[in-house]
Amino acid sequence: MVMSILNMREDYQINQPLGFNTHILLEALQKMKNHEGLDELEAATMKYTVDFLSVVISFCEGENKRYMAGMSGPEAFSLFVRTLAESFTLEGVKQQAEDFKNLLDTLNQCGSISDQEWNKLNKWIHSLMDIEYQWSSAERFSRWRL
Amino acid sequence: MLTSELSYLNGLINDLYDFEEELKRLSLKVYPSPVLKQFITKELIPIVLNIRDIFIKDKAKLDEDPHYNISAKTKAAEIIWSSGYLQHFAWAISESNIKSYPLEIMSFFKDLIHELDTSNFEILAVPSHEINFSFSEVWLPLKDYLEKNIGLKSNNETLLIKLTFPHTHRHNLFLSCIYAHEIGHYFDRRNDFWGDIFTKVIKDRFILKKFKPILRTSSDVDNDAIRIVILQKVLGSWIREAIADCFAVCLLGPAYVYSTMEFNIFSSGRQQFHNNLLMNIYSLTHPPNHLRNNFQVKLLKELGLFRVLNNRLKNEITEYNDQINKSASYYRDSETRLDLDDTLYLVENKEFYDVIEELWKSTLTPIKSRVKSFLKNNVMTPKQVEEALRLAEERIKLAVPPNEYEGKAASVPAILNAGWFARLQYRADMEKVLNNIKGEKADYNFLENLNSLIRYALYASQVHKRWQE
Repeated sequence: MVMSILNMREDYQINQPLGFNTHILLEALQKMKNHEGLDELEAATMKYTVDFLSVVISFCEGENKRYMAGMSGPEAFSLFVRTLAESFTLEGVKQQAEDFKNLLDTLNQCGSISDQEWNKLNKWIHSLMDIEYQWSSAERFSRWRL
Repeated sequence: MLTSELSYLNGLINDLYDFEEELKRLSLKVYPSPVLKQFITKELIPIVLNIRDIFIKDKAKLDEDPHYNISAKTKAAEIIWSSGYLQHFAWAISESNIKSYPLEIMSFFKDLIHELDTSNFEILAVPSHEINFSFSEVWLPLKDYLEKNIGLKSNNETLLIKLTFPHTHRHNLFLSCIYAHEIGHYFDRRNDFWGDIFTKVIKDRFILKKFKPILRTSSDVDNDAIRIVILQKVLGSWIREAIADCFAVCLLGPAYVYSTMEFNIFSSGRQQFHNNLLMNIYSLTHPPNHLRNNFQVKLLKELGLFRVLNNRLKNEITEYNDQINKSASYYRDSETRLDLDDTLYLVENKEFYDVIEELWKSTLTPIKSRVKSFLKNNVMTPKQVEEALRLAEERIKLAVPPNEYEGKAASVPAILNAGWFARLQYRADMEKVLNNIKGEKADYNFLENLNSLIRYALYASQVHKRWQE
């Protein structure tokens, strides 16, 4: 596998990254469930995820907030909708974002949520993982010559 | 040889050694500038070492225990490397070329960024082999991304603005006004104007009831959230284009409109050439040419910049505007798969675009007010157009560079406009002064001569301005 910057195609466009890493998020959640302490990155990832959901909620309420350099409220909303299995009204999306945010808050404070809630959160994070993986590999083999 | 976590990690580690060597070679180039060299040695190389170190640690654990589970941080680092973000960043630096730098026009935009945004920036000028311009900040999103994904922090707040431009047209000042559109995109991204405007549109729930795109799908997904996602993709892109156009018209006035007209001859003239058909193509990413031109012309009029043009110059704009408004509209009428769901397809037909067009038009007033208030006193004035008219008539017509007006340095917008005004009006006059505008190469030579005068004027006026200050 030889990846040289000299072989890079010029027309590569950077799409929107997620803004936090789902593997680290999942590990952080697992640690909280096991009542283990989080390292600095894991704690920060929890915060970034909550921030991401807050931006989605604000957008649903008609307010545009920026999540990270390059991602605005409408983009965070679109990304979030892509992770939902069911179709929703705007209020439904907001409710979902609030639910996930509350679950994260509860885990953060008490370290425990029900199995059903845990499964729901887990399923959502795996949907995020799919998006993250697609983002990072979508153009990979068209970008490099092997 | 087996495909395994260990063999994959080995490959990644080798890639990163290779990448580090490339970065070291890159840091020895005459150009990049000292700032870029520092970016390579103080930012990029440490990032590469850090990511490689993450991989090496897990590789050692895998060597010890083949059943070891790859850590979350290693997976996060792999995603960063595989995304190509770092490589893209390095590629932009490697392609920067001072010899190709469109220096004269870029000084103007540098001053503008300095005034309206920040003084802590560097421009990466990257020549492209196609007729394409782009302007984007590449460091801060990467810095943010690294911090949020693997906890790598940096205190370097310098903006790295990547500018791509068509290599063969690097000194073509008649096309260079397109930069103003691209820099409009840059300011929009930095300030999230489009996000604010789009969010306000969506706040009106009635719009969501009205907007009912035709979706081909195996399940019932006709709901508000899907509609917003589609609108974000299409209307969001159209709003961004309108902001960039508005920015360019406010900054450079008629010169930008003439530049886009010229640019469209490149982009859509081929249809006419081969098929005798000029089309207004509706797309998910850009409003069709006639809508954009209508918006630009309307804005020129509102700013009072059209009124001060003479009839000849007005006609150039109105004739083009009439022509494209009479052109056929083209809708793909096909089904585009949305990235929401494998089974969800959007039908891009007239009905769909009619609603997008109506919504887009409703955003133009807030766009104008937002851009004008951002640009403050950089919005072009009728007085500057009059100045340009005089520069064209009193100087360029006689083959004299238009760098000075009434003893003062001429402004960049006035010089660029003067160039266009002369091109459209004074060719015959210039033929009398210049003796190489004859024969088969006449048109080419005329534009080359004119372009040289404008380039010189841009350079000289900047020197003059420094003396004035």
